[in-house]
Amino acid sequence: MKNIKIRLMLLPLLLSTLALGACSQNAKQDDKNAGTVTSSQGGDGTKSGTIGAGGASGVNSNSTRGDYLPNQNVNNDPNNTNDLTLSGLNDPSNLLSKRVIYFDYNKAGIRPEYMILINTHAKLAAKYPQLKMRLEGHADERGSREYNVALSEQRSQSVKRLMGIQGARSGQIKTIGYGEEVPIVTGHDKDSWQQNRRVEIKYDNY
Amino acid sequence: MRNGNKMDKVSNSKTQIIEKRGGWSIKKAFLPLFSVIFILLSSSTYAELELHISKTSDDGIPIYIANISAGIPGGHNGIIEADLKRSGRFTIVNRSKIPNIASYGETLNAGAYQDIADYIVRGKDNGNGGLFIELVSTTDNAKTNYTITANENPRRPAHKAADLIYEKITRRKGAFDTRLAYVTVTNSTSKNRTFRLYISDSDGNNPQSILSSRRPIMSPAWSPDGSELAYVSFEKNTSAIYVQNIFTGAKRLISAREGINGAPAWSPDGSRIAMSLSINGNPEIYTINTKSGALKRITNSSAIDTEPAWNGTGSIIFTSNRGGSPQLYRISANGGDAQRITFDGKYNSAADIANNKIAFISGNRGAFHVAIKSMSESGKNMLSNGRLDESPTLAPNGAMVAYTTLRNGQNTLAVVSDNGKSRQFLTSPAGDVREPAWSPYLHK
Amino acid sequence: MAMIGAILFHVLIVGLFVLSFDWTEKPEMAEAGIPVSIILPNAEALELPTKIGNTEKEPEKQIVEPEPSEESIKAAEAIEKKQEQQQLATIARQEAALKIKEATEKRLLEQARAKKKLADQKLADQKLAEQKKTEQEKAKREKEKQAEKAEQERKAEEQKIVEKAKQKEEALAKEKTEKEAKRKAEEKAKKIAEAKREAQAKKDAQAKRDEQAIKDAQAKKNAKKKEERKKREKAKRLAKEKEAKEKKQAEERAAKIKAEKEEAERLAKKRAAEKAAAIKAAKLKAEKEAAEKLAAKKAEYHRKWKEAQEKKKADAIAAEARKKAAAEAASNKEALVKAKRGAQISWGSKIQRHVKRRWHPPPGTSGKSAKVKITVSASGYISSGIKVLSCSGSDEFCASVKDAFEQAEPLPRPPSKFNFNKSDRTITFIMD
Repeated sequence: MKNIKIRLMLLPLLLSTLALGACSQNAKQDDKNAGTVTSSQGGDGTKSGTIGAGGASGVNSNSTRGDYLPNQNVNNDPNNTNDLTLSGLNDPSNLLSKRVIYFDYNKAGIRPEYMILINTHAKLAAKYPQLKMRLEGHADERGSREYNVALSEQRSQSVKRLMGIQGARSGQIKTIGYGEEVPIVTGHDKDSWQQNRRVEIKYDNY
Repeated sequence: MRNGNKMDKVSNSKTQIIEKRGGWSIKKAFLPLFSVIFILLSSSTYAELELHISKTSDDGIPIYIANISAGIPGGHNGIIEADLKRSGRFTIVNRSKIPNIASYGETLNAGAYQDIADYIVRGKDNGNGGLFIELVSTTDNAKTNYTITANENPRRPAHKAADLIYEKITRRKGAFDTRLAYVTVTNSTSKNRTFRLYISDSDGNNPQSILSSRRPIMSPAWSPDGSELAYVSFEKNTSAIYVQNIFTGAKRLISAREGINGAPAWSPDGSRIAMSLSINGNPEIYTINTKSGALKRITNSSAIDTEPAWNGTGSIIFTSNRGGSPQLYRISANGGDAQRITFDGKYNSAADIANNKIAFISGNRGAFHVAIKSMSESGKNMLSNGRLDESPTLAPNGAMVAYTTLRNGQNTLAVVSDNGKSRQFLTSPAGDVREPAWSPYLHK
Repeated sequence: MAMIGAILFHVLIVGLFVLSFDWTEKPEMAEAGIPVSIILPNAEALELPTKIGNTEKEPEKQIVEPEPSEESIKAAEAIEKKQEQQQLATIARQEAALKIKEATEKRLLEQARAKKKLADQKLADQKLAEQKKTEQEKAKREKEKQAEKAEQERKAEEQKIVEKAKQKEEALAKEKTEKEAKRKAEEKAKKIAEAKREAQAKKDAQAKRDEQAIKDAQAKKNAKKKEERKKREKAKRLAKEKEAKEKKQAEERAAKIKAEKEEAERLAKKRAAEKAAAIKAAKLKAEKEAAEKLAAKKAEYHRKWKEAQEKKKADAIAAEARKKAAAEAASNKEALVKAKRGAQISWGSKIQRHVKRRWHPPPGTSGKSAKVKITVSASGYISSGIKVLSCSGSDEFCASVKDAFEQAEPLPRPPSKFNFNKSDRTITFIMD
């Protein structure tokens, strides 16, 4: 009930797009991100991102390296975070409602298409310092179980690091690796495995 | 002297017996290889034999277990038979081959059954749940008698008998009177999913749950005295290592540090528990003193280091992807440089060590199998042929490996002998079974 | 005075020197002498057991000999000096002090003793020399004796050799005789054997021979009878002729007068005729006898020939029988060998299975191999130890090979009925 109220109050805001404060002036950083974001180097984040009804699909990129960096300002105000509200977490049309990042087999690197999603959540965390989240990493059933725990922990660490770059505080984010213990689906096929290789972003109260 | 010279001369004329051979492969290992061709090269009256023995054979020592009556389903003889068979070292002779064998206490002319079995086992219930067991060799008619006391677990006397028979014949300690710990999960994808930690006999019988949780329970590891289990719990939404007494249920927290607290493994002397912690950012191997709690970092790499297994008290085998793919490495239990010990295949992990053997998971072309190798040999043998086999654990004598394998869409327990000759699937309580851990020899 | 004082002083010094010499050197002299008397019995003792080692012994003696002589010369010189010095010393002492007198007396006594000793030594040396001479003589004698002995021994040996030769000859003779005897015995034995072997044949032959003998005997009897008959007839004839003669004589006496001359002539003729007749008869007799003998001989020869013929036949039959038996035995032996070999191989395959079932090589050892040799006792135990002839694997692998055999004991026992020898029970295994 509470969520609904908040959402109703913030509705008008959802219609506008917001520029996200960002900073990456470093083209090299782009290269790094292309492969993996597990690298701890660089304190820079992306320049900007967009959220809203358009979601990830509304991303425009001028980067020749790829279209994964939401570094283009749709909105001219880079400090406008009006669209990042807690109510967005429960709005199915809001990108914040999407909270699963999927991974490649035996990899902890973030796929480019999840940059915007991660950045968006990072900005939310940055905007609400009291907001706490858990990043729950998972693996598919292949390979050994404790190795998968480590792998899934690394996946959540990858996400956390990227969020840190985007302004989220370390104390806001807890990581956990569940390995292959908590699958989404029980199938033993490629589709099932893909669904199970993931990091789930979980907010304590939302 | 003359005779001696004669012998020498005689020994020069040899006769060769050449056997058909096949290269090593799992398939071949399960085919009887006994087509023997004899070629007489010399027509000499005296000739020494030359015989060929190939590693590839599924033939075991033929043993006949007479009916041992008892109030147990299948009888004590059934338990003993299954045990001996599971070791991959025996062939159980069908009881119909000796239809009316003299029962325990009556005179037995064992030599008469020489062509049927190498050994005959007879026995009887002592009336109080204990057993009288008699092992007779048909080769020399030698008899060995055992008296086995009763146990609150009525199946254990039979396992003890199997151990004694195994030890007498193979001169190696038997490991049938041991336990397995494992985890089951029911409703794995729903909110009602339940994890349970079980302990059963080594043949899967007599399962008893000692812990249950809505959150994952992982990686049970036996203390060297067989009275405690270390395991990983996600009870508090983060991983933690606990130790629980299997008899009293008392449990204590060993490690709940930030990040991963995983893969506990007791040192053989019980003084330390090795584990994987990520307090410094990425998973590394640490040891923790079980009395003082002192923590010692063993590995130092920017990659995943996990799944430690003690190779004696001096060194640790663990899984690391420092080379790009998960492989097994060896490191001193005091730290230092690690040496890679697996080289073929893109995925070698989850080592378990007993009696100088390492069982581990070897992945190739998307399939994961149980492999076994000797600490002193570079080669390995594949022991399983499932699609997604996991969590190998060696019996304390190194003669058998328990692991999980997918059967009918669910993970189930299997036990394979170290030579690959025998494989049994164990029954277990409802649910997906995972992470068996074979207990040490029992002292109680 | 100063001169006298100087002389006295010198004398004193000399006296002191002598004193010191007496007290220190003399016992050493005595000691130096002692070993000689010790060496002697030693030398003798050494000499006794080594009779042949004389040549080696002699240089030792020569070394021992000069030592005492030098010492004795030195001693004698010393004594002369001492005597002179002591004479001077006594004078000095008499003048210097009475106390030294006792010492000098003692010393004199000792001197005397020393002299005696020296004398003794000389005597001893002389004795020694004599002994040596005698010993040398002895040695010579002994040598001679030895030579004699050696000669004697040589002679004895020669004699022995001769005797041996004789003995050999005798032995050879004996051997010869024995050989001959043996040969004879063997021949006899052969004959006996042959006889035995021919027994069957002989029985038939005997029968025939018996018949022949009977026939011969009858033939002889007949011949004798004929002879007797002939003799009797001769006698009759002679008697008749006599009667006829007497008649004729009577008639002739009657007709003597008629023709004495004719009668005489006739008588002469008659006598001549008689003689001729007698000769003829004798001749006939001899011829008959010769014929009879020849016949007998012929009969004998025929009999022998027959016997030989039969013997040959019997021999041939026996030889054939022997051949047959040998062939049969050979085929039997071959069958036995085959059976034994078969039993060995089936036993081997049992062993093979038995060991194979108990071999648990460490994992990851494909391609590794070993060669093992064992000898199995009649009771199924490995009697010779497990000999690993070669092994290409690690220690663990090689140990597993050995372990397989240790576990396999007792092995299936070798089949008892073929009496497997050690070689039959020795097996080489190639294990890979």
